[in-house]
Amino acid sequence: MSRLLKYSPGVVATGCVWLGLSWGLFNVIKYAFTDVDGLILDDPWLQQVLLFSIKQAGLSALFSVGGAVLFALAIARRVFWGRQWLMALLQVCFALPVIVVILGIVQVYGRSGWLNHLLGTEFSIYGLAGILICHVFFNLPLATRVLVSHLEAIPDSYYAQAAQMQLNGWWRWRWLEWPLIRTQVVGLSLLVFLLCFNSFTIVLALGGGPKSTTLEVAIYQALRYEFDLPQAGILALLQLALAIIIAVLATRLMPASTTTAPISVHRSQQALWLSASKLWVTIRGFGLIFCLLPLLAIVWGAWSGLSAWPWSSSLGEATLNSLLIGLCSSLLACLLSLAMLHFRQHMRYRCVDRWLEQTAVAALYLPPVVLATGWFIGTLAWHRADYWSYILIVMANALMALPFTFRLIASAFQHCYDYYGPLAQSLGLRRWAWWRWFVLPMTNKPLAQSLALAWILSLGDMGVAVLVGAADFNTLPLTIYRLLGSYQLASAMAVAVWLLVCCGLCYGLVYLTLGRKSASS
Amino acid sequence: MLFIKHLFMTVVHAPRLKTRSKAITSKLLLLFSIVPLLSGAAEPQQPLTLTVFTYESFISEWGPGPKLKAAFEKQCQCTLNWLSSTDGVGLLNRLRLEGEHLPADIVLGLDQHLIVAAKKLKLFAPHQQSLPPLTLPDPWQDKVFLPYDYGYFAFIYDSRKLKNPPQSLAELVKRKDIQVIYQDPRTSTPGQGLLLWMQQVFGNQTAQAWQQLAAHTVTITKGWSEAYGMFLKGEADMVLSYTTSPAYHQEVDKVTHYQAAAFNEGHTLQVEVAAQLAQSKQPELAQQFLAFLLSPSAQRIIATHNWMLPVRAIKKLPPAFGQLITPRKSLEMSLETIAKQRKQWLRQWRRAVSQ
Repeated sequence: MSRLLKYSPGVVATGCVWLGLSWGLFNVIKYAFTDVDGLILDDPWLQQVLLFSIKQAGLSALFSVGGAVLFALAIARRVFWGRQWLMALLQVCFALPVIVVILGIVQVYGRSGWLNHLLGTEFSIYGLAGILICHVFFNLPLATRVLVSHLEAIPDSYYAQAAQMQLNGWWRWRWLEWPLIRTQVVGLSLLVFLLCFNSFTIVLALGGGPKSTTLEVAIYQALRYEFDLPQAGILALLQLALAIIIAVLATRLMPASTTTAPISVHRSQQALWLSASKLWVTIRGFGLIFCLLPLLAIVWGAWSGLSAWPWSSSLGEATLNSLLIGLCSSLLACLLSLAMLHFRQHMRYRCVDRWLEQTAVAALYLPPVVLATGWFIGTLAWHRADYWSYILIVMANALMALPFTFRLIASAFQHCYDYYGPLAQSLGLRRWAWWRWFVLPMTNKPLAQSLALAWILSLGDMGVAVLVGAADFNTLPLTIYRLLGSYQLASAMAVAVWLLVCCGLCYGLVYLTLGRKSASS
Repeated sequence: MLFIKHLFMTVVHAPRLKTRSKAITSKLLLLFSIVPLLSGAAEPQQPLTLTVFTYESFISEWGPGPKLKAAFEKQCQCTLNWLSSTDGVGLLNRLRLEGEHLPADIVLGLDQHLIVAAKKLKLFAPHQQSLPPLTLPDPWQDKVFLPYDYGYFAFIYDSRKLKNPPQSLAELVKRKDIQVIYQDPRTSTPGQGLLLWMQQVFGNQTAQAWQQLAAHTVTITKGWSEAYGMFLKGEADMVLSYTTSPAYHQEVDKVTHYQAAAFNEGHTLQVEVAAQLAQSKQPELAQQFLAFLLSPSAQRIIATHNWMLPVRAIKKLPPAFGQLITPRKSLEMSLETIAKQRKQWLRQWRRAVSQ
C-alpha cells in the first residue's frame, strides 16, 4: 500500500501528460496520412506559408535580440533613478495577455492610432509590420532581462581593472561585455525565433490576409475555414517537426554557464561607464517608450471608452468562463507538478529525473495549437464541440503552464526533502503528517506563485479557445478579439482593462491567501 | 533545457506584494459576491424558443433581424433567438464541426451554391411548404432549402471618386489603379460568389486573373460586414457586394453616389436559402417560421433591410429598387460542378493570392 502511494501519483501524472501529448500527436499523424490527394505538399502555397513563417520569426528574433543588446547595455552600464521599476516593467511586458497587447499596439500604431495622428501618415499595421512590432514588444523585454542579468554578473573587479588599464568605451565592450553577450546571442535568438514561430494569436489578429499567413494560422484555417482534417494534420505535423528542430538547436547552442541570480547588483559608481553619453540615454528612452506606450494606450482607451463599457450578460459569462478555466487549469498544472516531484523524490535515478524534466517542459516545444488540433480532431467523433471546449482548453492551458509550475516548485520541494527528510524518517512521521507539517508549509510560497502564474497565463490565452471553442463560446480574450474584429476599439479596451483587473485579482487572491502563510510558520 | 531557464527567470521573479490580512478577506468576499451576480438569477420558465442560426449582418441593428423577430414573435407566442456566424460559408463550416450538437432549429443564410455540400451532412429536414409563385429567374425545385431572397453580385463604387468605373470583370482585374476589397471565399458567400464569377469569366486563365487582382487588393476579409465597412470608410475604391446595395444608400442615407458597376460578362446570381435542422425539438415552430419567411410582410422586411430582391412579387417596393442595374446576363453554374470543383478552385485562389 505504502509503495503504491509512493509511486502511483507520479506515474499517473506523468502517464496522463504523455498520454495527452501522444494522443494529440496520434490524431494529427493519423489524419496527416489520410491526405489521399497528397496535393498540399507540392502546393506552391505551402512554400509561401513556410517562407513567411520563417521570415517573420527570423526578423522578429533579429529585431528583438538586436534591440535587446542595445537596451541591456544602456540599462546595465549606469545606475539611474527608476531602474528597478524599469526592470519590473520589462517583466510585466512578457506576462501580459497577448490580446491586450495587440489592442494597445493597434491603438498606438494602427491606422487611426496615435502615431499616424502625430505624423499625419497612413501606416497600416496589418501584415508583417504589425506582427513584428508585437513580437518585438514581447521578446525584447525577455531578451533584455536575460542580457542585463548576465552583464551584471561581470564582477566589479573586472571593471576596476579595466579602468586601471584605461580601457575606453570600445575596448571595454570588446573585452568585457561582448564575450559575455556573444555566448547568449545565438541561443537567445533561437529561443525568440521559436517563440515567434509558434506564435498564433498575434498573427491571427494582425496578419491581415493570405499574404501573411503562417503555418499556425494555416492550421487554424484548414480546420475552421475548410474543415479539411488531413490538411490540418499535415500542416500541424510540419509545424511540430520544425518547432522541435529549432528547440533542439536552441538547447544545444545555449551555453551551460548561466547564472540565474536575481538582478539586484548595486554597482559602485566607479565600475560604471562614466561617459554620460546622450546615446545611451536616448536608447533607454526609446526602450521605455516602446514598452510603455501600448500599456498607456489601453488605460487611456479604457478611460475614454467608459461610456461604451460593454456590460452585458455575455461579458459576465465570458468572465466566469475565463476564471473557471483558469482556476481548473492552474490547479491541474500544480497537482501534476506536485505528483511528478513527489515521484522524483522517491525514484532518484538520473534517467527518471531527466524523463520527468522532459515531460514537464514538453509543452514548450510542442506548439499548443498543434496539440489542441490533435485533441480537437480526436474528440470530434464523440461529442463535437459541446463541453469539450472547456475540457480541451483546461488541458491545453495546464500543459502550457506545467514547465513554469514544475520549475517553480521544484527547488523548494527538493530543499524540503533534503533538509527535513531524514528528520521526518527518524521521527517516523506518517505521510499525511509529513505533507501537512513539512512539505506544504515549505513549498507554499512557490506553490502559490505557480498557481497564480498558471491562472494568469490561462486567463490571457486565446489561441486554444479560438481553435477549439464553439462559435458562441466566450472567454474574455475572445470577447476582446471579436470586438477588435468589428472595430469597437473603445469597448475592446474596456474589456481589456477588465481582463487585467481579473488577472490582478486572481494573482492577489492566490498570493495573499496561500503565499502569506509561510511567513508566519 | 537551459533556454527554458531564461524564459522561466523572466516570468517567475515577480515583485513581492505587501499584504494586510483584512485585504484578503475583503477580496475574497468581493470575488464570491461577484460570481453569483455574473451567473445571473434563475430565470422563470420561458415559452417556446426558436433559435435561428444566421450570418452577422442579417441580425445587425440595421439588418432585417430585429424587425423579423418582432413580427414573428407577435404571431407565434414564442421567443426567437439568433445565433450568428461571420458570414454564410461560416455557417456551413460550423455545421460541419458541430453537426447535430448545434443548438439551433433553423439555418438561414446559405446560398444555392452550398446546397449540395450542405445536403451531404444529412442534417436538414424537408421544408414542407407549398411554394407561392416566385420571382426567381429559374423555377425552384429543392425540397429542403427554401429561398427567401436573391441578388446578383456586383462591385460597388463611389461615383464621386471613381469617374470611370470598369465595364467588365476583365477590365477590373487589369485596372491597377482601382483598390479592391473582397471577402474570403472560404468563409463568405459573396467571396465564394466571386470565385465562381471569376471561374466563369476566365476559365483556364483564372489563376492569372487572381494574381492580377491580388496586385491591387487592399485586403480579403472574413465576412461581408467588415469589407463593406472598410469600403465606406474610404479604404478602397471598390468592394464586392450586390447590385441591390445602392438601394440601401438611396433609401436610408438619401445619397446616390454609391453605384454598382454593370459588367459586360454578366453577374453571378445568388439565391439565399433557409432550412430546418432535423435535430430541432420544435419542428412545428420551425415550419411556421419558414412559412413566415415567405409571407409578404417578411419579404418586405427582408427586401428593405437585407437589401436583396424579394422572392415574391411585392407591391410598392421603395422606388430605389426600380433604379438598380439589371445584369446583362445572369451567370449560373451547375451545382454539381461547383460541389465537385470547389476545393480545387479554392486552392487555386489560395495559391494565387498568397504570392
